[in-house]
Order: sequence, then C-alpha cells, then structure tokens
Amino acid sequence: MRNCSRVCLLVLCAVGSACTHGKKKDDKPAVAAPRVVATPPAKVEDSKDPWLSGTLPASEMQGEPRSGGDLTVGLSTDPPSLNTYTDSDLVASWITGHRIYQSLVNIDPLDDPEYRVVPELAERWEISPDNKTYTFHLRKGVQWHDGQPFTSRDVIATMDKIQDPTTKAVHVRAYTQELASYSAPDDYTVVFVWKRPYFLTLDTIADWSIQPAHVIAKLTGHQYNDAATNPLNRAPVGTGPFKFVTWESNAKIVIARNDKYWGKKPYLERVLFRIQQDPTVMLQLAERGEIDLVDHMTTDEWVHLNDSPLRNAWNRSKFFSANYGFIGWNLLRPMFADKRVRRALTMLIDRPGIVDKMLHGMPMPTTCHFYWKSPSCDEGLQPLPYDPIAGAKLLDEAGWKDSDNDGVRDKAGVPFRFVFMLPAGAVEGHLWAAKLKEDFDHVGIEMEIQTVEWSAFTKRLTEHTFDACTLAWGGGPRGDPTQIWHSSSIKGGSNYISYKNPQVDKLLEEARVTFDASARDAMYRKFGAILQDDQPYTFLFVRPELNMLSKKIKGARPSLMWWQFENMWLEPQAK
Amino acid sequence: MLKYVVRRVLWMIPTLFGITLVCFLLLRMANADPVSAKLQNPMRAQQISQEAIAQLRALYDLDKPWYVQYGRLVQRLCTLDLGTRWQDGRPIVDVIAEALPITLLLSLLSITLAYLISIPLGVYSAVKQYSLGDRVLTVVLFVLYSLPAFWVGTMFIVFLASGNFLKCPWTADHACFPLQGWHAFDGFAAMSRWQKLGDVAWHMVLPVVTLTYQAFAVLSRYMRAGMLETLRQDFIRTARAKGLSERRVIFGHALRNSLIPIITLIGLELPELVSGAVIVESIFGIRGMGLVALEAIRMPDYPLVITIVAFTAVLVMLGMLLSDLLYAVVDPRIKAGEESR
Amino acid sequence: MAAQSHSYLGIVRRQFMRQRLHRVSLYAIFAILLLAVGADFVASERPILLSLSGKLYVLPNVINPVALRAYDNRRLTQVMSESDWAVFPPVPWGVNSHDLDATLAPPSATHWLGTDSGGRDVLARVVHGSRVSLAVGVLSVIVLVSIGILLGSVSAYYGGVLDLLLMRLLEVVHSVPALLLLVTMLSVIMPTGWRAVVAMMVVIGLVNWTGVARLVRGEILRIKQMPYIEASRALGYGAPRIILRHVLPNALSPVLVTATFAMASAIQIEGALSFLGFGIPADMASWGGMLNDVRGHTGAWWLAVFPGAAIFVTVTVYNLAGEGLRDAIDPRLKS
Repeated sequence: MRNCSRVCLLVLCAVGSACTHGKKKDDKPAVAAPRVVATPPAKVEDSKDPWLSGTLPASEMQGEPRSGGDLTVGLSTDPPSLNTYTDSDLVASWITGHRIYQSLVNIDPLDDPEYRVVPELAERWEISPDNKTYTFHLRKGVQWHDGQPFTSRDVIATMDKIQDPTTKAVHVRAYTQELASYSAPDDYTVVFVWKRPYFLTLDTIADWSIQPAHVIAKLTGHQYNDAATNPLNRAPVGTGPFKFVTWESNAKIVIARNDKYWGKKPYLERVLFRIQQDPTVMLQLAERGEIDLVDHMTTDEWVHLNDSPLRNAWNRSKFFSANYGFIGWNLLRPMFADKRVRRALTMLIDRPGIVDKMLHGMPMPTTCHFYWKSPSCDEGLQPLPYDPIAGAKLLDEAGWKDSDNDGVRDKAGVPFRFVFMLPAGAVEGHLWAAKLKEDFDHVGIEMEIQTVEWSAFTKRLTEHTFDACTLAWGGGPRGDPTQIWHSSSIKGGSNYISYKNPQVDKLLEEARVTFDASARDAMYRKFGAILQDDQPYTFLFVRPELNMLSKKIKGARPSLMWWQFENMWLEPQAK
Repeated sequence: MLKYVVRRVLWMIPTLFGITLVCFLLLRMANADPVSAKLQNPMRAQQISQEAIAQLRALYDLDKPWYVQYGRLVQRLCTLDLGTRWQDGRPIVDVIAEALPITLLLSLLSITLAYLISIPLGVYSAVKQYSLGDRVLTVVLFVLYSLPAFWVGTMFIVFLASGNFLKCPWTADHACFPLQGWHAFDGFAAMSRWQKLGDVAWHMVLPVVTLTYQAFAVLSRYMRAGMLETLRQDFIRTARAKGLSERRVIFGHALRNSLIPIITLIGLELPELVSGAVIVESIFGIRGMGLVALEAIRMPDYPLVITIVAFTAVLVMLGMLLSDLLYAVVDPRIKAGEESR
Repeated sequence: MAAQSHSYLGIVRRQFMRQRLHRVSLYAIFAILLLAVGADFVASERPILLSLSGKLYVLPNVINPVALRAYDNRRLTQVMSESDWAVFPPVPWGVNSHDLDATLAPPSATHWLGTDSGGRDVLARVVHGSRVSLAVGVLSVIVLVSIGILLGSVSAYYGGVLDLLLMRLLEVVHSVPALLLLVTMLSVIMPTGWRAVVAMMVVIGLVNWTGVARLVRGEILRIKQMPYIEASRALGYGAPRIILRHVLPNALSPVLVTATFAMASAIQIEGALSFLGFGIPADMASWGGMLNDVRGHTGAWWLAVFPGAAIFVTVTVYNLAGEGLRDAIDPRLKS
C-alpha cells in the first residue's frame, strides 16, 4: 500500500448492472469524500414515543400501591444453582441477592447514579480512623424464613464457608484475601479487620449474602458444594423480603412474599420466574399474557417489536447499565506494541456503521471503563473518529508499509497478519468481525477470524496466546480497575493484553486508598484520558438492557441492580 | 451359541476401556481449561487468585497426572458414583434421568415409524421395479434423503411454526405448531392424561418428522436393494419354477433374505436411541441427551462426557451383537460363530 | 454396433447415460464443480477486466492486484471516468462484502437473493459456499472410503484376530462422538480460514468410515463362500490377488452406493456442524453457517430457503449420479 489515499471508503452507491462503463463526471475525484462520521440514519426512533425510546411513562409510578397478585418474569437461562457461593451465576445472584438472602449492608438500588451504601442486616457500623476495622451492629429480631433467629453466628458461619479452601466459593474467596480477621464479640456485633484500607470494602461486604448457620455450619466443604447434601443449593433459606417456594429445572422458580419480614413488606404475593430459552416463545408467552416482564431482550427482538400491537398493553424499558464491549489488542505482539498502530486500528473500524446498520443504532459508544453515568467517567472524552484515511496515514508513520509489494503491510519483515479470536456463541461479535476483516483487508491488513469455545478462549486469554480478541466487561456502580489494568494483573489477573503503564499503576494504587470520592473520581478521569491516548483496547459500546413490562406493572424503575420487585405492585386488569 | 454370546460380552470390557480412554485423552488433549472457563464469568472481571484456581483444579482432579485422573473416573464409573455436573453441581444421575426419557420418546417414535413405513415401501418398489409407482417412490425417496434435516427443521420453524406464513387463526399466536419444547410450557402438570398425550403428540410432530424422514428414506432404499438382490438369486428362480404363487415367493422366501441389510442397521440405530439428535434437539429446543452431551463437551465436563460416552458405547456394542445375532437368525448360511472364529 | 466399445468402462458409460435423469445429474455435478472453481467470475467484489486511467487490469477478481486492494465494485464505479471501462461479474458482491445500507434485506434488484444480517449478498455467498461444500464432501469421502475398504476387506478376508480387532476398533470409533473429536481438534490446531475446512473434512472422514468397513466386511464374508472364490484359491492365487481381482469388485457395488450416500451425507454433516456454529469462520461462506443466521430472524425466509436449497440440490444430484453409477456397474443388471 504505497498510496495511502487509495483507502477504500464505503460509498453509498451500489453497483447494479453487471457490465457498465464509468459515468461521465465533470471532475474525477481522486478519493470519494470520507465518511468520517456516519450520516445519521433515518431513525424510526422518536424520543417522544416512550415505546420506541424505551422510557417507562411517568404514570407507571403513579397510583395507590395495592397488595397482592402474582408477577411472572421471563428468564432466558436456568441458573446452575441458587447458591452464589458454589456457582458464580448472574441469574442466581439476581434472584437471591438482597431478595431472598440479605447482606450486612446493601447498595441502594434506586439511587442512580450514586448507588450509596445503606444498612441492611447491620443497623449501623463504625469504621476505625485507619480504615481497617469495620464494626457492624446487627439488627435484632430478624428471623430466617424457617423461623430461626438471625445472629452474628450466621455471619461467622458464612465467612467460614467462604474462607474454607475446600468449598467452591473461589470467586468470592479472592476478595477475602485482604481480610486479616473476623469475629463476633457478642450475638449482635461483628468485627472485620482488614490488612489494608480499601475504598470498596463496603461494596464487597454488600456482595456477601449471609447464609443460615443452622444449615451450613455442620457441613464439610465437600458437603457444602454438593447439591445432594447442601439444601441451600436448590432451596435457599434467607432473611429477605421474599422467600423461596419451588424450583422446577428449566421451567420455573417461584418466590413468595415473606410475611414475617422485618422491613417494608413487598406488595406482590408471589414472583414466578419462567425459564424459557427461546426468545420467540418468550414473546409468544408475553403476547398471551403469560409473562408480565420480559427480561434481557436482544436488539433484534426489540426492533422487531417496534410496530407491534403489543404497545397497547406493554411498556418498554431501555437502560444502559455498567458494561462495555471492546476489542483487546495483545500488546506482546509486535504490531500492537505501537500506540500509533492501535490508534490507527480504532480509526479504521467503522463503529458508527456497525452500531447504526448492524445493531440497529441501539448500543451507545463509550470510552470509559466505569459505569458511563458515574463521575469517574469524563463525558468530554469522545471516541476516536472513524477515519480510514487518517488511520492509514498513521500506519505509514508507524512504519507499517507494504515494502515487498504483496498487498499486505509489513515492518522489519513481519507482515501485518493477525488472528481475531471470538468466543463461540458471540452472535453479534461474529457479525461485525466479518465487517472488520473486509475493512482491514482494504488497507492491507490481513485478519483471520477464529471462533473458539469459551473454555479454550479463557485459557488462551490467561496464557496471553492470542493476537486480538473481543470481550465485554460488566460491573457495578463503582469498580476498581486494578484487576484489569494494573501491570501486576498481567499474571493471574484479567490484564490479558499485558498492558503496562507505570503512570496508570500509580494512579490505580493511589485510588484504592483514597476515600474521598471526588478526589478518586479525578484520578480515574485522568486514568481514562491515558487509556484514550494509549488505546490498548478499542472501546466499542455500552449495550442496553432491554426489557418489556406489562402495563399492569406499577412502581418499576430500571436499576443497575435489576428489577426491584419489592417496590412493584399490580394494577387490577380491566377485562 | 451361548458361549459365543458370553465371549462377545466379555470382549466388551476391554473395548469399553478403550473407548473411555480415547475420549478421556481427547478431552485431556484439548487446549481448553474448564476451571478458568467456570471462573471467568463472560461479563465480570473477577479477582481470582492463583491459589483459588489451584484449589478448584484439585477439586476436579485436574492437578493430577492423566492416568490418576482417568483411574478415578473409571473407579467412579464402576461404582456408579457418577458425581455431579461441573456446570451446576447437579447429580449426573439426575441430569441423565431428566434428559434420557425425552430422547427415548423422540427416537423410539422415529425409529418405529421409519421401519414401519420403509419395509412395505421397499418390498413394493422392488417387486414392481420400474413401474410408475416405483419411479415416483424412487424420486420421492431421493428428495427426502437429500433434504438436510437442519434445513427441514429450520424451514418448519420459519414457515409452519413461526406464525408468519402458515397461520392457524384459532391459536393464540396464529402458529400452527409449537416452536419449542416437547410439551406445553405452562399448565402441563395440570392436564389430564389424554390432554397430556395430545399435547406431547402435537409438540412431537415436527421434531419426529424432521428426525425420521431421512432414516426412512435410507431404510427404504436398502430394503429395495436387498429385495432386488434376493429376487435375482437362484433359489427364487427355483421357487418360481416350482410353481409357487408370487405372493409366497416374495413373502415366504425373498422377504426373509432381503431383510439382512436393514437388520444390520437396527443394531447401528440403537445408540442413536440414547445419544439423541443434537440438530433436532437444538432446533426445536428439546433438552434431550444430545444437548446435554454438547454442553458437556463444550465445558468440557470430564465425568459427564465420559459417563455419556460409556453409556452410549455399551449400547453400541450391544447393538452390534444384536445385529450379528439377527443376521444369524435370518440368514442361516452365516453361523453365529463366524465373526470371531 | 461395431463402433461401440465392449470394454467394461464402455458398458458402464452406456448404461449410465441411458437414463436421462442420470445424464442430467452428471451435467449438474459438472455445473456445480464449474461454479465452485469459477465462483470468482460469478460473484466477486472486483471486476473481471478493468481499464482504469489507461491501465488494463486482467482478472483483478482472481489475482487481487495490490494497486486495487482498496477498491471494490462500488468504489470503482465512483472513481471511473468515461474513458475507463470494466467488465463486472454478474453478481457484483464478494463473499465478504458488506452492504451496510441493506442489512437483512429481502430479494431485490440490487441483491437478487437478499442479504444477511451483516448486509452480505446471499447469492454471492451461496455461490462461494459451493467451494466449502464440495471440498468437504469430496475429500472426506476419499478419506472414509479408503479407510473403510482397506480395514473392512483385510479383516474379513483374513478373519481371526485381525477381524476381532477390527470389530473392537469399529466399536471404539463408533462410540467416540464426532463433536468431541472436532472440538478437541479445533482447540488444539486453532485453524483459521481454509484450514478449518480441512480440519472438518478430516474429522468427518475419521468418524464415518465404519459404515463402509462393515459393509465391505459383510459382503466379503458372503462372497468368500461362493464357489468361484474357492476355485481361485484352489488355483493357488495369493490372498491380495483374490481380494483385489475377485472379491473387491464384487463387493464394490454396495460400497459405491454407500460412498455416494456418504458424499451426500458428508456435505450434510458439514452443513450441520456449521449450522451448530462449529468450524467455518464467519467471513467464509458455508451453506450450513448461512442457515444458522435464520435462528434469530425467523421472518427472513430468504436466509432459510436459498442456502438450504443449494445443499439440497447438490446432495440430490450426487445421489442421483451415484444411483446411476450403481445401476451401470452392477454386472447383474446387464441384459
């Protein structure tokens, strides 16, 4: 590629006839005008129409809450178990977390975007001046669903099981490594002592569901793991506003109002989770009124329903949660070690085209590692433009030119060839990966697509034996990027692309012990600017959570913590 | 004869070892790590210590040399202590007990149907070779055989079950057939016995048709070929010369001989009874053995894969034995001892 | 009459060509082969002949010249002046050309058979998909028939321990799930592009030879007892000669039927595996993989109909031709 001006651009005119002569033109343009920014598509979406924009109408929050009724929620997967300590599973944590089980503290699910920490099983707590000792005073008079009283013994038994090396609570145990000791001076006090101060300590504790000591204390680690010996794996017993009723595998999970709940009791009588893997059937069930809430719809389904008569009986909710998709460039590979190359690659990727034309304009571009609404993100940081000409120029500058004239750029004898690894089942990923290949091909970069099973994918990630890959990170309202971006996380952590920047390391270490939120946000915004400049990832987009709620549901508000059934009530159906 | 059967059954033991060993080595060879796959949630960056990974590896025997891991697997298989599925910690016995009946229902229906239709069809088209009926049948069978099942299933979904094309206005969603599953998702437990039967039958129509038509096309072709072959034999000519009626020639003499090729196939169909049909199951969302096995292979879940493989292997071998015995019964010229002489 | 050859091949050919359907199937096979070889001339993102700024490019659709790397048909029509000319292929889209202005579009004048969810032309992909299907079909059948004939005939003829071992091996192979073999193989060699096709082909061959082996074995066990074999043995002929000259030709006609069915089924298995999402990368065209796209879009009938029809037609003509061949070489059909 000697002439970088010959970069192919998408031209909006299509070739129809098989054999044609060039059209008469007054002046032959050397290059068609670059489509730097995608022309805004003729969007059917009208922000005034709540059905299309996915905003719940204000009337949805109005009215007098009334007690009673069953709510049926459509879920697309059956959880492996309902014990989030033996199996790390999102669906299980949605169903049980702060709903069946409770923790010492909670993150207020309706406090968007701050999501402050609020008391739950602990009425109040004290933090020592050195930020290492946390003393929790437990709520009195709380009962387990089976009638036993809740005390500090339950907290200790739960911590014992998390720390027991023979249980499968591996994913939780990692967060207790910084824990020096835990103890219960009396029945209603628990003391945690940490080795180091850490700003996310309370968030971590909010993640720990407290399980009943009278069920788990007598189990060995092996018995605890096994569904045959640990009743909690299939039938949780908690202290929360809802109690577990039944679970039919791959069919439904039922939870019911806990009438002895210590706090504000839910309005709903029962919540039924209907498991239906097929989205089409899910929609049919919705049309028939057998489901009141369709959870996690795909973009295609959403768009498919734009003109559906369902809008008469349903509301839709589009909510951008804390997640982002990205392309990770393995910095150990010579072609990706150069910052200019990575910036060029980002500019060569037609992200506007992918979002608008392939993904129906649904995802939201992002440059931020954190929850997009959080103050840790710098709103002014815009994605690098889609500009293939500038991208090709940057590649030339970085020394990647087609010196041997074989159509593929090279530098020091290394051709610009790489393999783009995708996990099997990433349907949309496969869709745009093929487009990436075409675009790169036109500027003299050869990319091969490789689909890999998840178990092989993760192995190659941790071994750093890949060229480029795509993944998505998701998280909560606050996050600590150390696990992903600190150089110490290259080995054993999630820094799969081997990103190493002393400045970033220092910022992240400082932020961990900064308890002043605004000071920490400033550090994270600085960190974001460095990432933007370095482009170790090509940040793609935040994907919306798409849900459809029957109009009879009242009091629903989208949240990072999923739906709050505690606050919902049902309007009587006018038949 | 009995001695022969006993010897064959005894031979199954080393073969079973061979099969499980091959599959185990394939799993072990695979460049995949079930532990990291299990720990890495696709959406969450988890803090995972090396120590924690080591603990989980130990839990799954993955830290031990391959022969120790294999030995333990075999030991558990022999004592029928199958353990739990890695994916969700459910007992493997339960997982199989849930999936197997569905698969059996689907495949028994399909195989019975295939044999019931194909034998008379095959005989007819051989006896009336080159007649109009034979020609039409040949063409139809060709078409059926050449139709890929995943295409037919997909077309069924698009045109019959989606409610977009073929419409049955009396159903709630205008779809004439259910899209997914082997019974209604709601209210199935509350149905009466006959309603249940009807409901399952309605759900089974498209999957069974998708699963059957190819097998039945193959069987018919084998049956026709076998019959033609037999009809050219000398003993048929003799029988005809003796003045036997055509009916007796065909049903008394020829049919028995011409069953040989398709009887060998019975044995080979047997394992499919339990291994399930991944394609049909995945198109129609029927959670039978095929999908369970597919998920286990993708994980990869060593105990579950080995259990399913061993289970299928026993049936394969029994099937082969059965087909050899049947061979001996229908064709006395082949002595049962022949095979292992 | 005198001009007609009475050689074995001559008889076979005459017998085969006697039926119109068989003739048609043979021509269809040639046509599909031609399509696979010449896919770039039917559907390509670059012209067949191009004169641009006084420079003539011959076959840029095949050789993909460096100077034109950044251009495709759409872009060329934009930059071409009146003095420039080009011969475009009838389908001006390549196997991986994305037309983002027509994603998931039904058949139209621009895209005769519609587009998939990435805006890729279905016709172009069906045309190029013939390459994958034929490669997998032909090569995997060669693999499986060779293994099957070799092992089946040797074990049946010699019998004894060899036969016993083969039967055990059959059981082992029959019991190892093809998907397990494929998943392991893919995870170890991590193939990209055409190497994924080769991997798939080898797996299909390795797993499916047992049918042929059993059939050959059964036939030979039968033929072995026929008088003329005993006669040749009495004449003192060696085993290889007897197997090759007398036993195999007689056992071959059922094998041929099985092989043609195997060819058809190999194409179907490739389709099925791609349909399940294994193997063939997203940028390549495989008929089964194209069908996979329907799963999320049950309204896009064109995605279901055309790639499936392509598999169907290919499989049918192979079956027909195989059937014709069977009738032709079966000596017992000679009048």
